[in-house]
Amino acid sequence: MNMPAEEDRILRPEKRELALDASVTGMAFLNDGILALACGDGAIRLVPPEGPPIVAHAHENGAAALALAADVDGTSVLTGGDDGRLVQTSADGATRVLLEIPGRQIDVIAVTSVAGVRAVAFGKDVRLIDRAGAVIGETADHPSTVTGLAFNSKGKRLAASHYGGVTLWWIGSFGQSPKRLSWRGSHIGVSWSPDGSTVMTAMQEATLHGWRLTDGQHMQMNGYATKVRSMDWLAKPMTLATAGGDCVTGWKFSGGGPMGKPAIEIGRGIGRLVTAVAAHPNRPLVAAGFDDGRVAVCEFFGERVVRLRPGDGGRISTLAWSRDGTRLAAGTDIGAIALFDLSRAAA
Amino acid sequence: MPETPQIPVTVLTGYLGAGKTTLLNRVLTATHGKRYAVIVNEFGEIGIDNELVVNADEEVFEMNNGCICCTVRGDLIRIIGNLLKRKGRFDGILIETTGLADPAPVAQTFFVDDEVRERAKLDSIVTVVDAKNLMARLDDTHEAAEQIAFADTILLNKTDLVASDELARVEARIRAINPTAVLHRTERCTLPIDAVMGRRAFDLDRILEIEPNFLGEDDHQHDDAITSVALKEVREIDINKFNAWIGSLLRTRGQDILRSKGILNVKGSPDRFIFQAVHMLIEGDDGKRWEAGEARDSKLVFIGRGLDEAELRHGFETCIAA
Repeated sequence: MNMPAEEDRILRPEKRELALDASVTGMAFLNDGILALACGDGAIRLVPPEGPPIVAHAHENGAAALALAADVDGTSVLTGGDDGRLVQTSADGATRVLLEIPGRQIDVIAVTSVAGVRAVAFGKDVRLIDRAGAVIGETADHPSTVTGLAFNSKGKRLAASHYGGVTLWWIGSFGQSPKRLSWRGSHIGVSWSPDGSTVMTAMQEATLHGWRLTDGQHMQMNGYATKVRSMDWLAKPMTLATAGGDCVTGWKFSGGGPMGKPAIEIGRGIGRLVTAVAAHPNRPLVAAGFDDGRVAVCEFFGERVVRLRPGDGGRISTLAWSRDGTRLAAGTDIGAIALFDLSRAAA
Repeated sequence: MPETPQIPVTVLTGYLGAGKTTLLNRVLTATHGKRYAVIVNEFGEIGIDNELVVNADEEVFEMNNGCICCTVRGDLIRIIGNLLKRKGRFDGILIETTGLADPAPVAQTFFVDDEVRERAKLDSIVTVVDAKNLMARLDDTHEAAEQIAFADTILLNKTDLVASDELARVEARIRAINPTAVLHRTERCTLPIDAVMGRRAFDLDRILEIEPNFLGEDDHQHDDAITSVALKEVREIDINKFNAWIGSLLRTRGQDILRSKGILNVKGSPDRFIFQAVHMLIEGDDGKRWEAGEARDSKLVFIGRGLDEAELRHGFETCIAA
């Protein structure tokens, strides 16, 4: 239906590389440009813009770090591991255990820096933890294990995905008056649109489901090759970028969409399964990671694709942009990490 | 991309008190030099502090894939995905189910989810039964018979608590339900770990040893009881005809056919074709090469409710190569 993409550009920007021997499970840039990354060996690595990384042993005894988010203060990082621990690691490598649930894998966490609250799920249980580390809310009022958590952009509401749909909570009255969004099937992750109007889930059956909160309208996006393990939002014009196909699939929510509008196919031509996406913080660009380790930066609404990393066998498991959008980090499931400096490349 | 071998997964079923926890503890403590992850449903029961033990909630989900009996363990998809992120390889994963659990959703998880299937493979289903209480359980519940029907390996445990003639009666009752499983008589689940872990190839090959007439008629069966049918064919099989027949059979009768397994002598192939199914979900593979001078018999075994042997035999005969 579209014309073939013009010849993709290949860019070899300045980059730093690290090689670890376990899967990279999460990455985020902290204030001061430090890249925090979590890994299957349980260590948290803090990579400053200059100088060697600091290694913090947040999850020990063979446990893996499974989930990572920049913490409420923006200067430390929050990780969950399969040692049942939720750990805060500060930029100097000091660790503090915020929660420990033996025998549980802590793989679902969310942070709102606006409200200063962390949320963590284990089984049906969700707990809210404040800046000081105190548990300020707890509920197990979910029909099954919570598979994803997302705060809205104001940090006032929390969405929890599970089998059969999503439960929405108000932080101020957590555990009371849940709003249930129902749709049959197993929902494996949740994302809240930046304007707060829409909650989207990824489903076991390789589809997306969504609810427009203003009028209760459902939406369903089909046609994915695999489960959608990664999705991210461009704020303006509000567009959802998703992995799970052989190009980045975009859904434009502005201008009456996405219902009745065709999907935007971004970054065609590489022809590999997209395993991770990350929208640029302030330009209409999306970084795409592929199942052979390739990384490209693509225009949301154009044909241009800039290839940054060739395939090396591992699949891209996580991508992160620096706050100012000048640096991009990519990690693979076999432990390769590439940190690209794009400050001089006008893509 | 380097091919990573799939991690073998063992599913452990059995009634409360049959000895599952004893077996789990043996897997975790025996000096076998292997690295096994164990997924349990009651974390407290394992009296061992071991970071390879993960707690699961046994959440059974229906799949929206049009397959009416297709239920999976949603929690397992996540837990196994997470285990695979750990540094280093596992030699196996052992999944314990609760006493009353139907083993099918666990087994089906390894057929249905692409990510799990890529990295892990159902190796075998192990059922622990209590020699002293099994007869009573078979009479008052249907789960006990289903757990035996699904099994690739059965541990007839607590044999020290019953007399030998009683043991023979229990064993005959088990064999009437499942003639193909490997049966071990045990006390306190004492047996080598490799008798339960990493069994697949060996156990499937056992099907060749089963003679159809061995199954015989059982005099106290009623209509809804679980029975088995074994079929043998000496002529070569047309694999396309077979796939069409077994696919259609399991689509229509897969709710009642709990398990089916087979080894086929496929026309034009020097290798055995091995297949196994859990309800409607089928998995096929090339197996060992036929050896020179070996009788190339095809064997099929069905375990389920209300099986019509004549109909199954007739269906299988339509798969004979021209």
